[in-house]
Amino acid sequence: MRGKRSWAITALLGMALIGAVIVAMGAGSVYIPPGEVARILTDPAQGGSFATIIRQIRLPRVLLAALVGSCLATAGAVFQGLFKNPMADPYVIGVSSGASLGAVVAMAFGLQLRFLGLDSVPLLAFLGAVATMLLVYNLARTGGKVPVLTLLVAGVAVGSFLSALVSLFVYFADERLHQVVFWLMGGFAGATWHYVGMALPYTVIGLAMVGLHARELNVLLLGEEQAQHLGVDVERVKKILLAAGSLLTATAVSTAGPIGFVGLIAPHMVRMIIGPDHRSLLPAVALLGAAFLVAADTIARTIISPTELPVGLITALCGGPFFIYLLKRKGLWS
Amino acid sequence: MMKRFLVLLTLLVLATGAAAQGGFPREIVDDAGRKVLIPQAPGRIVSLAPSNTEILFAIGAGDQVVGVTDYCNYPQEAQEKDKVGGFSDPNLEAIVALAPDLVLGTNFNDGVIEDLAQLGIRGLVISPGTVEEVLTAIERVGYAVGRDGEAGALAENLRERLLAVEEYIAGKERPRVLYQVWHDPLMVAGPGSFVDNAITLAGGDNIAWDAARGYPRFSSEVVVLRDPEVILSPKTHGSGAVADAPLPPGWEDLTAVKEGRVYSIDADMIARAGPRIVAAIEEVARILHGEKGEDK
Repeated sequence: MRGKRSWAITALLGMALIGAVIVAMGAGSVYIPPGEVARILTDPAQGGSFATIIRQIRLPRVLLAALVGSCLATAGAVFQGLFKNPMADPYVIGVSSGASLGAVVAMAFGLQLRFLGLDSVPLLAFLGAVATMLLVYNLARTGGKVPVLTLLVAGVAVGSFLSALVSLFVYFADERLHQVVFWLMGGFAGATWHYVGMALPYTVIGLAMVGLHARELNVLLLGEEQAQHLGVDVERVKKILLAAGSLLTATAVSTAGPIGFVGLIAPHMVRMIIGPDHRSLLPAVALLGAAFLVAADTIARTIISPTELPVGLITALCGGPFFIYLLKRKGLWS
Repeated sequence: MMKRFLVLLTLLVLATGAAAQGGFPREIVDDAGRKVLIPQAPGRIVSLAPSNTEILFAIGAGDQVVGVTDYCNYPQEAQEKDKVGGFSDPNLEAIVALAPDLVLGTNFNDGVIEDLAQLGIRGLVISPGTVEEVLTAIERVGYAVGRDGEAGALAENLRERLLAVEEYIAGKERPRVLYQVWHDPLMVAGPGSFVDNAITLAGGDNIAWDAARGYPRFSSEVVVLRDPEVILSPKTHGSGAVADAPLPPGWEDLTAVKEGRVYSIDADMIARAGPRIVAAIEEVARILHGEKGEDK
């Protein structure tokens, strides 16, 4: 399968991403023609409210949506491959619950930390995600090994427990914690250049870690024993992939809140079209996730403008039927 | 002299008492369209909303109140009443245990009023949607609890004050106003909301006039485009105030920000369908139309 066709599709997805970004930069509560957008982006002297909208609101938002989309889609592909489970998504080992708890704690206690221009909410969300990943990993470790099934179950258990803690906070919180509810819906309305700056390096690191182990992911699909025989250091690879997937998820959740669906369906969509080889799958998945989330966010902020919808609604509403259509036509890869 | 005064006082008390008790049983149609018969002036009222609690106390029916919600923080005396739990999810058993002869809910807890009716407890839904409806709600609550005189006087006073505001703002230019409920995601007071109504009455134009009803999420881009001259945000108790949050990107050049016309308003006053809404409107009118630098 790794041939001309998958390259063509990857190129197509790349163009789709570029197209989505161009449309997203022009569309919005106010339409700004592409020529005007280009002028504003190339000429720093250009002023006015359009320039403010493009430079400070729209561009960081579109870029963040692209980064988060590629993070979530890639993390989903990694976890589906690692756990050999089509139901796996970026949140399967409880990382989003950990991030949510971090965010809720930051909001509940009104913490006013500042680090590299970031608020306490994304900071604590990120820390919560990483801490959860370490906890789950260590819970699942028996002897020198981390069986994936134990990992999955430990992840689900820890995730449920942390979610219950979040609910407890929300339940007992007074009015000021209503913000938690909005945070838990996810979205890019609060995107700033600081968020883009935070997400970019981790996205690059995470994608690189995953990309360098695409072959190992393929071999793991044959079963761990088989992989060991083929000379793959299974435990080490699992650790790296787990860390990379969690890092990507943590990056996405801490900057945009938990956005559903992208991480679950993007890998399946690509697999249905170009097959299960991770070497061609992963870049295509990252591009599709980015394009999909940029497009979804554009719809979220334009469809009933000037009111904005939570982007998670759009991902599920648009992604769901399309996914079902693909499922009926092509069947789930297994 | 003293004796005559006492007799007079007794007569007066009897007279007002009689007036208050007079006219029962009374029938009232509540905001859920329910026809409710009230056999006598209620002496054990449970209020299921801060707005209703404020109305009851403002018309002198505070002594008739036996239970309030956890959110009923005004006036001070209301906080000493028994609590029946939250706003949308009050504790049914706690309400029943207080043996109320009238429960005042809003459309937020319509279901609770229904449930109570099944248990034979009389309830009314009072849900004013506009400032004008608050005034009639005051009169209707007064009618329901036998405080017609006080309620009428209060409504009259509030009406006069609203007229005074109307005169004060007449002919003045209406500034563009943004009411920022929350900063991330950006949420504003949209049309049909109480705050939107208050801003209009205080002589301002809400820039989110075309948003979804209530308190929707709103495009930050549109705020930049429409350039509000005044930004208001709710002052809540405790942390997490919008005013403390960093300015959303691109807002540095807004007229309101450059001229320092960003203010906090007591959220309980402006967003609650109670009598204090008029004081909130007066405050907003002063903010919008007072001499620059006069308020802060």
